[in-house]
Amino acid sequence: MAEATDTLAKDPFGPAKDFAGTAPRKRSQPGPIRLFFQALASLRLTVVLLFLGMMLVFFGSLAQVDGGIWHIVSKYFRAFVVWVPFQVFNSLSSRYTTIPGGFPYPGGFTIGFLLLVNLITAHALRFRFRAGILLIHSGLIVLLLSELVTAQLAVEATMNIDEGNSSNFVYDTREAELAVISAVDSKQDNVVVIPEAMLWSGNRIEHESLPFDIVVDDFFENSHVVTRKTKAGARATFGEGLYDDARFRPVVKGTDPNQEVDVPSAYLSIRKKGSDTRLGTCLVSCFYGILAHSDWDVTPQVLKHDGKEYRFYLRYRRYYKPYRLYLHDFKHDKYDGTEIPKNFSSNVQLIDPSRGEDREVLIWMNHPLRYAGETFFQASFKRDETGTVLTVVKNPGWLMPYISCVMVSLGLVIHFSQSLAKFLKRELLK
Amino acid sequence: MPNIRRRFLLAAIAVGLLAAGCADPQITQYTVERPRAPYRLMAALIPQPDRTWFVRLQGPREEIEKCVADFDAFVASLRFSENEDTPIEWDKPAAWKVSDKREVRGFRRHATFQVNDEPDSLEVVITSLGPAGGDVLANVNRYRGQLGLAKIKEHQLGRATRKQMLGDTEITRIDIEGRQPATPGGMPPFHSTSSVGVGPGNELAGISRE
Repeated sequence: MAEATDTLAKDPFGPAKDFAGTAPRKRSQPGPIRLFFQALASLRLTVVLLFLGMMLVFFGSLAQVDGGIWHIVSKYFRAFVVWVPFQVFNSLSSRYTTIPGGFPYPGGFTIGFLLLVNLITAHALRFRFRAGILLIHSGLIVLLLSELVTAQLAVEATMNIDEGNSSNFVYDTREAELAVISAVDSKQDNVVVIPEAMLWSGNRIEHESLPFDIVVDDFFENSHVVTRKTKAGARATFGEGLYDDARFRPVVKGTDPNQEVDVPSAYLSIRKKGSDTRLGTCLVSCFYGILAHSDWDVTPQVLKHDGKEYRFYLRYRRYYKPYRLYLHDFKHDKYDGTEIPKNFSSNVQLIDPSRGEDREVLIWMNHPLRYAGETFFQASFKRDETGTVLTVVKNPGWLMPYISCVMVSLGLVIHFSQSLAKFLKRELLK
Repeated sequence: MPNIRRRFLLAAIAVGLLAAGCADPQITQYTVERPRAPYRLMAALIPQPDRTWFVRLQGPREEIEKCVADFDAFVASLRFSENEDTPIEWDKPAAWKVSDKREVRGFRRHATFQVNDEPDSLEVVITSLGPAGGDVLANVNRYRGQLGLAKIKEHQLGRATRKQMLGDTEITRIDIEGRQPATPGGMPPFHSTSSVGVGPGNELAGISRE
């Protein structure tokens, strides 16, 4: 007979363990990288960023009272950091007071970029896969990216064409550029273009394509040009600056009922390369281009250097096209017996050797020409009706906000449908 | 980490790099065809004791370029006298034909030549005005107005004029390019000309010199 024992029955998995008195196993601490991504994905960050965004919109709205719309959009919303002057708060008061100082603030690009990263990392780390939520947040991502695409790639510009003449470029009055032009031969010019972002007062521009250095003595975002009484005392040593002065003018306000454009001007000091030896000082201004009305008649500021002639122009930023529009006829129809405009139309010839296009097109009100990703609207005309003014819009991201709306709407429908289905199922089971 | 979440993280990093790569301003260089006006006007302004003589040729730029040599030679051949019947004489290029046009739109012409046999041939026109009509700046701005160009100032005359000797007389040669005039000829100096501007709704319309 087997001996009775008080040991437990043999357990094929081994003897039972006694856990009494054993401390619970500690969960391992997340590493620094994971902590960083957790912070990026946190809801608290979302709330903070949304609040910062609201305040940025508030500051920008106040600033637009005294600043130009596009100037503020560029400075506040399409920038990483913005300096917000305390002066903007004066807009809230009926009395004008000068308030010095200001404070730095994250710009639209910073807030938008962080919102985007916050949303993407939140999905990577926190959210479970749910079709509705995924679609909603993807739609928001598309919306944020659409603003980045628009800011970087969209162009709204103007094309002026005289009857019997053609044009292959558009110009954007929201930005200027300095063009230094020299002749290649009897028909062609070499153009070196310096963007407005480099034309700040005190900047020295050195580039291999320029045979001299250019120092920006003064740059005025907006200015007016006045005729000097005498040449004596002029800042310039050549060109129209001997006879004209450019004076500072505040940028066009967002509340300006006339919505004129800024007319930038600059005093440039031309120096020998790598040296402070002055070759000359000139005044360049977008005003001269406005005065001329025609591209071939703009007054250049001419410098002769090393036997070659260089022409300096400050002009609104240009975008040259691989195609040309030739204006056959501009018509300004009026209602019979009145001066009330009925219709404006431009009969143009579209010539694009790169695509083999050569066709006649009528552009008229509400009937734009759509070509090569750009849209040409009939905007205005020359006062003597011998030329047309077209607004040319290019925005590769134009469809993105619509796609975003559809995605967010669909996502909301799916998400709430799923929530409703779960709720109804629970209620039915009860 | 599940695959889809890894992709989201990679997307976040890509967006970060994209934003960081947003372009710094760059200097660019390119070659373009020089802008040229479609219409050209050449003229000679010749002061004489009793009147100022004008010799003018205008038309599409490509057509004018074919006539430059003949026009220069014609101007250089001009001779003046006090004879009231023949105050001015010339050596006409062989290809030119004398036209019988003596008055156009109320303005009297001393002589008109057609440069070729074509029906729409360019014309060389000789006219004259009293001494008061000889101001160079006023005439240059008159011609510029006809070609749709803005007025220029005294110091800018070098863009449109050059001096030339015709015997003992210093004459002014005028060379301007612009748009085809709606009404060729236009008005003499001291008459108002409408300035070319940009139309309503155009944001540059109100900008002018102060």
